[in-house]
Amino acid sequence: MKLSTFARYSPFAVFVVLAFLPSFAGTYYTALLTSVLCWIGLAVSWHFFSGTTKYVSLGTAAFFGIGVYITAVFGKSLPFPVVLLLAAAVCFVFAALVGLVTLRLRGIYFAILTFGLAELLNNAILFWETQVTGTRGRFVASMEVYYPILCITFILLVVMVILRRTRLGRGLRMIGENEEAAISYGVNTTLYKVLGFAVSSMFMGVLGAAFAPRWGYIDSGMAFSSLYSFMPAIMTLFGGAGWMVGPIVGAVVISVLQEYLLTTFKDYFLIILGAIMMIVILALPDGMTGRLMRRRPKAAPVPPAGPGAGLAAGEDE
Amino acid sequence: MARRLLEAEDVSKHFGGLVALNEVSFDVLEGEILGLLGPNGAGKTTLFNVIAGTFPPSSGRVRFAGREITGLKPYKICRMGLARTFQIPKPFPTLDVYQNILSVGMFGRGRDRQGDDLKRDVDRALEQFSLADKRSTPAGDLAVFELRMLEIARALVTRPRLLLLDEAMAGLNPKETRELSRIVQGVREGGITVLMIEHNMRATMGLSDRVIVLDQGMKIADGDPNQVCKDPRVVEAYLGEAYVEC
Repeated sequence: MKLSTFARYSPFAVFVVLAFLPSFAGTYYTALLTSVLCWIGLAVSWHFFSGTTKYVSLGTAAFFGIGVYITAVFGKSLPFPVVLLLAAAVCFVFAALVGLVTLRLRGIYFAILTFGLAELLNNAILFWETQVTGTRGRFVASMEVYYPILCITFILLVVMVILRRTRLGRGLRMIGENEEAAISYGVNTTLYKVLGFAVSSMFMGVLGAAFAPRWGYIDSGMAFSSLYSFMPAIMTLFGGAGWMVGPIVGAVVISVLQEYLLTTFKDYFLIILGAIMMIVILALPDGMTGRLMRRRPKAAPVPPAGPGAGLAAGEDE
Repeated sequence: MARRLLEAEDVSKHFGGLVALNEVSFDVLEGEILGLLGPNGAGKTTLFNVIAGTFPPSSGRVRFAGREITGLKPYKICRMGLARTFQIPKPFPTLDVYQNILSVGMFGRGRDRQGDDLKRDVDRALEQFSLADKRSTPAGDLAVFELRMLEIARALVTRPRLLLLDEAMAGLNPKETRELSRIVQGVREGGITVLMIEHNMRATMGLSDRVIVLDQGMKIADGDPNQVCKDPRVVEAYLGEAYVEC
């Protein structure tokens, strides 16, 4: 299954086009594109762990929010790249610890626990701010975040594509397909789940840290908004969870649709968005890319002929 | 005498008040095909689960290739060279047959082989188990016999020294049973020791070098297949059913 040269290099071409786009697009479209790229990053990160292992996490907001707060707290004293690395490290370690405790839970229990995690952080910070420091929220040194988000999302996609082929990626996929078989055939399932969750959360944190300067001011309710937990899951389901293109398509369609509906029918946009999602999920249970993927069967390889094949077949005689 | 590859010593397993295994001891000798027989609920699969590490025994010890494996996690036992199949096949349903075998090949005892060696092994397994034309079929779409074949192919691609087969022949027609017997013999000739659970005695008689019989969690017989099936306790355990005749 070798990617054709075109498929291999086209992402880099897209990256170059996107890098020059802000010079042509206005401020509005650049801002929209920033959001879309950030959603792509969150959805693909979510898919890397939850989409493949089927351990549905509703804790994306927890890690995104940690990233946002790290920028808010350290953004003025540390250089921006250091802040991003700090967010990555904190989220990786924090997710690994959370994973060690929670990843023995399956199904709805894991989802509820991770959802509670974001709410816990939200309320803990709110408590700290109101009771201890006597403030509400924080100011963030405002700056244009298009390029940081573009670079992070691009790196993230490349890393995810590479990881899928490694033992970690394979192992996570096996866990999602059948965890008992995976552990019986040599996969250290606990280690892989914790590692997968940590890698996925790490990127969510970096995205949060990079996105924060877009807002001049943040508070815990914005940083840990449950929107960040639900959207990546919904986008992946919408786009199709079977393949990495699924979350990308889902993120683009939903975030653009949301923006369009919000600006056109600002009072009814959530109702319309909800209705569209229901229709799509009912009509396409495998997501928008699901049917497409199945329509494109891999070319059956020519069965190996000649003495080699005969030898192999005759081996158990 | 051949070396002992697997040694179970007074293995017991309790589930609450239920005694599923009661001080079972037996050895598997290197290079043999050992049949594990017994009526429904005798504890055969429980014994497999204890050996493969799905859960630890309540008491007793298991040694594999001279090393204690009691209570080790399944993935560690698999990496040491003990691979199992499941009574109800557990494929990776949305992965195709090739990916099912390839993924497993990246783990297990053969985890350090080079990519090309692995691919060659996977291709060979596809040929050997007549799955070559199903290569790109998702495992969830396979028929029963193909699933059984895939199950064994996956276990073998981990490069085990001991293969545990859990009722691989259940529900197969005579032609398929013959083909599977041939494959099990081929596995043994390839230097892999086999421990197989069979519910049906006749199916294993011709195949096993030795059989042990479990009944209600206890070992009631151990020895040559022809003698074991005449053992009155074995006949009684099977309630004198027709398939004891052999």
